[in-house]
Amino acid sequence: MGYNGIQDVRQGKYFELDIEASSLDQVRAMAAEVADKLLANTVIESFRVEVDPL
Amino acid sequence: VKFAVIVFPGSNCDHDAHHAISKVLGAQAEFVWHKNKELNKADVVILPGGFSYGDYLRTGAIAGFSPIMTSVIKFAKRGGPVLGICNGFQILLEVGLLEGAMLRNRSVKFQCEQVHIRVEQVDTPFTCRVKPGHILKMPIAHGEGNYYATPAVLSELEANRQIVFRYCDADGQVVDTKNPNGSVNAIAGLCNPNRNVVALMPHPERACESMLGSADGLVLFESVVMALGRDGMLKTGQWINKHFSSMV
Repeated sequence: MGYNGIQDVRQGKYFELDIEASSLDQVRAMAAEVADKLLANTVIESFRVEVDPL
Repeated sequence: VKFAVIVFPGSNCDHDAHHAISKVLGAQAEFVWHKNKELNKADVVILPGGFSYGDYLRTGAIAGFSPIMTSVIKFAKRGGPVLGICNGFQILLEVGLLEGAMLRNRSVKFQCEQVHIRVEQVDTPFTCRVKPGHILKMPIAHGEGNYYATPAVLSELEANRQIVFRYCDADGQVVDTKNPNGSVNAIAGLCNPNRNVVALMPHPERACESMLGSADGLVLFESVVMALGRDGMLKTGQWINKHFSSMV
């Protein structure tokens, strides 16, 4: 296709959650818990949580 | 002996399992809808193959949260015999009753073909009627059957003799060309440390009548009936094939 310079490629999953809580730390903790329990299988996947205040 | 065949939205081997148990084996089988909370006094639980919840998120991930699974986990932890077939295996991995995970097949394709598996362990309720090293022919039909576990978990599984089935050729040799999906150590099936929870990717329920190409799968269902005995209780420690090896 002519896109020279691409050294590597990976794909993953991306989830956006709207969470209402009293602090950003609480939001981060809840998102991490949901990711650990359901969204990611930590045997084969890792996850990273980013929080943006609305 | 009463079998419960759990039905999830997207299960598609539930009827095959029910047929094999009730029509071929002649035992009692009952479908249990995943929203039920009770197993209706079943002695054996079958988690059938299929595509529960359309394989959304990951294979078996959402089914792990179905209401019936609370009872299945309790049943398994009490020592009740549970057999996971294909998607059932994936569900058991997701709920943590078995260790490891499934990756996409090495071919990155859905594979539907006959395979041979070697029975490595006969002291489980689903293999107690099999001779060690016996080779069974049955079909696979999956896209995510490439079993993976960390090296630490893997050595623990090997040390505890929890690898129940391995992919092999027709003569029982474990060779990479006969590993259909790239599973580590050619693992086709596992059991838990207590040996009452067994799972495999190939489909024994689709190989119970010679008209269908193989009747080798029936021995798994016969085994558990024998393991349970007349009073419906597992004879723990008596699954060793000493008494049964002549019957296969």
